[in-house]
Amino acid sequence: MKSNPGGQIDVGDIIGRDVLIESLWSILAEQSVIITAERRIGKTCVIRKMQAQPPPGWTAVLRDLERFHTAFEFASSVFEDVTAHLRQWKKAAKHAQRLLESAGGVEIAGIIKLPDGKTTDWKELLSKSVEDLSREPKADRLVFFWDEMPYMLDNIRRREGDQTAMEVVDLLRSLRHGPAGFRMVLTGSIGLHHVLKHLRDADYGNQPLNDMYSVEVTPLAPEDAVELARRLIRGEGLASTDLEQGARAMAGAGDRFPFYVHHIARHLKMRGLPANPTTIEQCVRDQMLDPHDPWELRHYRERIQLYYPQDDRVALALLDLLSTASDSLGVDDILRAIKSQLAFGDRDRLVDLLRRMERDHYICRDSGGRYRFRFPLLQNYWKLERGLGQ
Amino acid sequence: MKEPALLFRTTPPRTPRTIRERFEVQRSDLILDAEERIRESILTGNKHHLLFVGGAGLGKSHLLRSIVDRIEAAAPLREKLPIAWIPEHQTIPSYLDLLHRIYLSAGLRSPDRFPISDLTPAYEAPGDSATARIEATLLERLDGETMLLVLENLDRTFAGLQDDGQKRLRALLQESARFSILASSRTLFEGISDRTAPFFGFFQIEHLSPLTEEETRTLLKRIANLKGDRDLSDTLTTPRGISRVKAIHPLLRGNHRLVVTLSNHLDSNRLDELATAIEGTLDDSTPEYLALLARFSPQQRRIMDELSRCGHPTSVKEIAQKLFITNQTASGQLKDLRDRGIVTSTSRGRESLYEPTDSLLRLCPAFLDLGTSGVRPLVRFLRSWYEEVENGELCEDYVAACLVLAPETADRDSLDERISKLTRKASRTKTLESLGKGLVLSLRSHTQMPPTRESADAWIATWKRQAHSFAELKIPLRLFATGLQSLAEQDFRILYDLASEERAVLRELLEGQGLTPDQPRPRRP
Repeated sequence: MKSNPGGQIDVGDIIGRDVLIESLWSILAEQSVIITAERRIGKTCVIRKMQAQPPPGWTAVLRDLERFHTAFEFASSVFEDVTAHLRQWKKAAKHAQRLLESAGGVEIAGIIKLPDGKTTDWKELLSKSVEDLSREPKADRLVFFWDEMPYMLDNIRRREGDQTAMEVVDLLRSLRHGPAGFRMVLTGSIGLHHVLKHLRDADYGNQPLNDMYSVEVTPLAPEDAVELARRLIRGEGLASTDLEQGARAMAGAGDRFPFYVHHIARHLKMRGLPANPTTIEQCVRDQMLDPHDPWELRHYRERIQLYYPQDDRVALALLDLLSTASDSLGVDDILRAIKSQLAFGDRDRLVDLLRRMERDHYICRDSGGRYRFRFPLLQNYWKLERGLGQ
Repeated sequence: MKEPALLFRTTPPRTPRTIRERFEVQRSDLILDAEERIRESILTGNKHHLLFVGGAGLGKSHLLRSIVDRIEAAAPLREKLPIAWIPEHQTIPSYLDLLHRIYLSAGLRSPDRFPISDLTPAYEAPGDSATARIEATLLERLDGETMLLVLENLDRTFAGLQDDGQKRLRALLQESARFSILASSRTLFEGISDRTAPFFGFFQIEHLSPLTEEETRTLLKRIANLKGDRDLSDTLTTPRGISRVKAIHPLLRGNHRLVVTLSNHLDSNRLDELATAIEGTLDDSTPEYLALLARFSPQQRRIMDELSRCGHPTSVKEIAQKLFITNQTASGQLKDLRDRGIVTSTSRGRESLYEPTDSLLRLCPAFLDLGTSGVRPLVRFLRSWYEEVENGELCEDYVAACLVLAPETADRDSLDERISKLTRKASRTKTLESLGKGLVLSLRSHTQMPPTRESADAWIATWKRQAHSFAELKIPLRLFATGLQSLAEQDFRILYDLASEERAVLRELLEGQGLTPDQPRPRRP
């Protein structure tokens, strides 16, 4: 197996996600799922594996929604997927087709063709497509894996307005509650809560996702991360006097993120270096200091202003503080330290910020409710980036 | 001597494989690695997407061709691999057009598998339906196999696709998992480096390096062998040949295409006529330079012209003043040029200094400006500077002579007289180049005991008065003055008043004396 940071991984080479995938299928039997995770942790690998290897009785379809800019484009894609699915069972999406025909449109080989400039009601198209699905109980259950849902909602919001974006999430919610047993798995590289916050700012008061089960993809389990590293060392033909030691060092240095472990293997390969603890440690440092930012870590710093526009300075001070703290810190410790740097003393606002930063995977709480950096690798990067003591 | 016409300079992929492999320098490991990754992409569900980034003339097309050659040569893969190659000259204005080109290119290679007739329904369908149809046809024809997409100048392709097209392409790649991309680009660009862009983090990026001095020599030697020029090949391993390549290297900066072009103007006899060979190289490259200029806006052309005219790294303020534009305009344009890799910026204290990155953009303006002596003086100086055998002893004599002529050793009139005598003697004996080299080398003796500012100023002024009329001494005088001033001030930032080639000479000299000119020191109080 070759290193492939950021690329598409063969389903057979996706390691350490079987327990998670099994639990996701059992949840899907009852309700739809939102997969949350920090970027580059391997969400797409999880859904690709689920799509490729569904359990008996299920069929999965994967769509990257980022390309859709209108609700009609989205509804059309659902119609196309439903049509393709039912065709396998020698059935058709009759109601949705009838709707299209009434608008003068035709569907050929799953592709909708409407007269130039004409569209149809996207809500009806979406609803009828899902309805058609429910009318064929003998067919496998179809689950939609919708990647980059937040980007699509943002695209629709920009192109067609907040109202249409709100209607999309509301309609999906009502369809999930319909008789069809309509199932979806939503993922995205930005949290849906950011898009919803924008909609709430535009007076949207609903909770359109609170019926979905939220599952977080975490870094690999220690042994799985070591197994990945082992396979990469072998696959890349890296020299190593002690494969086990090299694999453990690589898994640890990459914080058990598959993306970083792949990057380390690639870096060593391209420079002809062996996989041993010294070269791996040096590799991580080189990558963190590389002006081209191959690990894309600068993003964690740059998105602060975007994510927390009202509290960006507090967020920076908070992360600076936690990055150099030798232990976890409580809310009052943090507030006290921030007060000494900024004119900020609102405890409730700080608690709200801490929650949001926790949801964005910067920080986490220990069993005593005290805060620390979520990922040691990110903590080390933060210290380097911000010129804080090593 | 054999006919060298098979070596295609601007379209290296046209050069026959057997010949290309014979002068492959520097990239063997990269090619092998890429081949392994593409092979894995074809045979398994892992899909690698590789992007090679490097400026004009750094051998990107050559590299892509070599990788594809190796993949095609591997027997089990040849039959299996559908390839679509979008060359750099093709304009891609939309996602639909990209899909169309991909299909046509694959059809050229495998007409039975990708028949043009399959496109008829798409030709008859409107806009989005046509896109969906070609996508569907392509995937149907691939029938579960993986296609290798070779995309030259990905930056320009992505500019044509725009955000929507990029998102559609990404969706096709992600959903189908039937493509592996091998791409090149002159620079990093927004479509892959902006964190909100669909292809951010998607590619495995390798930055291509220019040739080192050693690699330049190896490449010239291999081309000489290819041409059957045994004399040149042998000479390149002698001290004379090594010193000539040392002189060439700062000028061509390891640009593969320029080195290949230069090889057309070199033989063992002409190795001594470096200026003629370099001029021949620039003459051959002028159409490429003009094409490069044509891509800039009129405002950017003026800026590039000014940067080339200045000859040394230049600040935003200086550019703005000389072009009668605001600092903001100059800064914005320079930032854009920097992001595209056209200029390089260096920090000097708080200010950023800019200079052209590309050898063509630095050397061609001087070559084309008929009112000057072009690049000849610089080439001749570098040739003389790196000459180690023929004029070594003479140079050291001149070093000694220059050291004696210090302001402390005589009054102004006497010093003027003695320097004048020395330069006239060098002129008479046709050894001005050696005198110039000796003058610069004399700086070595001042690194441990730098002169005072006053002394340095007096010294520089005297040399300028007595030597400025000799063209051969113009560059050495500039180096001597800048070097002495930086030593007197203990501030190496002054070196940025020199062009990069001249700066490299002084930096090497100072480093040879244990100094670190790249680390700025505080000015003397």
